[in-house]
Amino acid sequence: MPELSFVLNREEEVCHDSIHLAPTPSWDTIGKSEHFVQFYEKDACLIDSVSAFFAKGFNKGEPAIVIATKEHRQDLMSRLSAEGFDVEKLKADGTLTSLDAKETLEKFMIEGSPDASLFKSVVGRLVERTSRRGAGLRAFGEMVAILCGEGNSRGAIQLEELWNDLGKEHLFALFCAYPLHGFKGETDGQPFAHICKAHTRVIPTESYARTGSTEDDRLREITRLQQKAASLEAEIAIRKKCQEELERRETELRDFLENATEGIHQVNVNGKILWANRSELELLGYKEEEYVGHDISEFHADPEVIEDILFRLKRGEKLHDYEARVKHKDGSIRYVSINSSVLWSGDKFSYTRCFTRDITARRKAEEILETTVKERTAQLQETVADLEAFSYSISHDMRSPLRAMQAYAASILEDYCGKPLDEEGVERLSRIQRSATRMDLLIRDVLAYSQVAKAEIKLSPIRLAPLVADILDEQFGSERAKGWITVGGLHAVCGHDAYLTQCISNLIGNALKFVAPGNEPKVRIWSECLDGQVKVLISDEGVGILAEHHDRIFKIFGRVYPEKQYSGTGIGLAIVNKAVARMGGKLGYNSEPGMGTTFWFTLPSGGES
Amino acid sequence: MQTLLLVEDNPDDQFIMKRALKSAGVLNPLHILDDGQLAIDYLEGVGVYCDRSKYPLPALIFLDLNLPFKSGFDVLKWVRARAEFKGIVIVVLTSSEHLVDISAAYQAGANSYLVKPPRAEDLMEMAKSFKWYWMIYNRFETVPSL
Repeated sequence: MPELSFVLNREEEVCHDSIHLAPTPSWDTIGKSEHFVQFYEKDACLIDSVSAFFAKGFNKGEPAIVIATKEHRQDLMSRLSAEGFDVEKLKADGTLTSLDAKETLEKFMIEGSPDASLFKSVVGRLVERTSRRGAGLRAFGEMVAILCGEGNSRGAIQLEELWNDLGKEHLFALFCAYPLHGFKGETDGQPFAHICKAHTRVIPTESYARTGSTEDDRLREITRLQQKAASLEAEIAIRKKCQEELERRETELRDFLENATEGIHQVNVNGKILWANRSELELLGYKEEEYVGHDISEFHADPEVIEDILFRLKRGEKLHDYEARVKHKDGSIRYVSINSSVLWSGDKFSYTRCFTRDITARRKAEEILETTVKERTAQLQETVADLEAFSYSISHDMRSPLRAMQAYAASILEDYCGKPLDEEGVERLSRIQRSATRMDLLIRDVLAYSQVAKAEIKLSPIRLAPLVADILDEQFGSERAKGWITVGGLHAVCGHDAYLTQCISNLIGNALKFVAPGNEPKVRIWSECLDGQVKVLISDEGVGILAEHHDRIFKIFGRVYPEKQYSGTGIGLAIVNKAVARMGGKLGYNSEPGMGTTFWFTLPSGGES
Repeated sequence: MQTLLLVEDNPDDQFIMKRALKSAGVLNPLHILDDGQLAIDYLEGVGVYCDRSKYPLPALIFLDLNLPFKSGFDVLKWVRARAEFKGIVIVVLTSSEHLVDISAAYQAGANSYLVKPPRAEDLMEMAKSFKWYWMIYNRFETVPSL
């Protein structure tokens, strides 16, 4: 009579006997209708159990069904043969049926769940066919384990249920086996519990079987396992906490790097960009996919620079404030300052830690500064040169009359000691006088020059007509009265009152002075306006200027003619030149020796027409 | 006795130089020319200067650089371009201390470069040195005329 120790209702099962714990499975005590599960750690131990299970069965004349993996079936057959069973004969006479678990599974699985009717037709029929009147049936199935292994624990439990349902109609002892390593996860606890509940008997793994078999041994083992479980749970709690902390830290670091306001990126030994943070991408204007994964040299404007950078880094150098030019997505060039070092694993180049800072603005400012400095230096040099020429001419040209005065005075003292002065002596005295006057003139002219050598002057619109009229009134009244000067139309210019006065009065003075002996001067002054520029012209019909004397005449105290021919210190044109330059204008002249000269200078228009 | 030429436009400097040489004991005939063109005319023997008994060729020329019309450099180059005047000693006597001028003077063939001292008495001293060095120790190429 089949023993009905098969429990139908799982809940009821919990009340008293709950789950049988067998230290070593004594396959004799297996009821004819049982559904038990063994967890195993080593495949060999599983084969041990299964072959013992079937061996007992064969001895009792009970048929066997094996639905397992190819390897397990092979191992099982070898083992049974070793035990002395003629496997082929058993297969031939239907005592032993061996099927592939996966193949069989596929026959009734629909979309991840076992179909009840298909299961019945496939497995149910198999059980019917194999059963023998009066004899129990032993079956070993791994299909559920396969489902669990696929992660389909739901499907596995459903299948266990279907087996249980089948067990209500047929009599068999079903041996399920699961590898314990399939339940290593924390979340596997629940499916594990469900699986256990689905069975009448749970057989622990071989490591349990090794312990002693007395009740006392069992209790000790259970207690030990309880302690282990407790400590593991505590460890899990700690681990969880650590994990959380780690994740938090990681998030923090990730945020730190990702959102740092400095461009950060990693480059591998071959120059490939491994990662770049947001600032780096924004700095260069690229999207992530346009930058990460590409070669860093694509983004450098100077290939030799990026080569040098990588070369140095590979050598173990750390780069600080290394300046380079990089290409922005929009095509412009940005200046950057790079700080970089390499993370080494032993002596293997893992990646670079690169920090990039945009210094374009600073560079532009520097460039502007450089330009400004250059300009100022040039200006300064000009001023210094001016000053040199200035002081040089003072020291030489002005000491000359002083030397003359000394010489004449000394000569009188030497030659006329105690004697009355004769004509020669008086001549010498008058020469002393003349020298003194000359010195005075030189000083005056040098001061006039220094007046126009000032650096910063303010320009304003000046109407030339009244300015010229004043000059003629104050300095050239008689010449004008004699009809030697004619004034044409005069525009307004943007200039400086005093400077313009100097210019015009010097030019008119020269025009009046440098006439051939016996001729009357004929001077004309007028202006022309073109494109916002006013040209002021002063023409004469005098002796003209030879080309070879061009440089001389603009020098401070530079002169061509001897003093006795045309008086003057030679400062005139030097002053005009300087004054025009200071007002930002241009000075020039056209001359025909013997015919006349026209001096002109241009200045921006003063507005009025 | 060799003739000396002084090419100088400033009448005061002419007076000073004449006096300095006299005071130093340089009694050679000294001809003073007011500008560069006259110096060239003299050497060429143009106009009144063709009379070599009155205007002999000089053994030494004092040459100012800052002259009206033709500059001292023009005269210097003109003289040195003529083989017959190679033996004439040319001493530049000028107020310019500019290195550019010194360099140019030697480049153009000056034999010496003197800077007019600002003080008259210093020029007197210079004249004395001049006499000893140039007139006593130094030998001229030109044969003393008569």
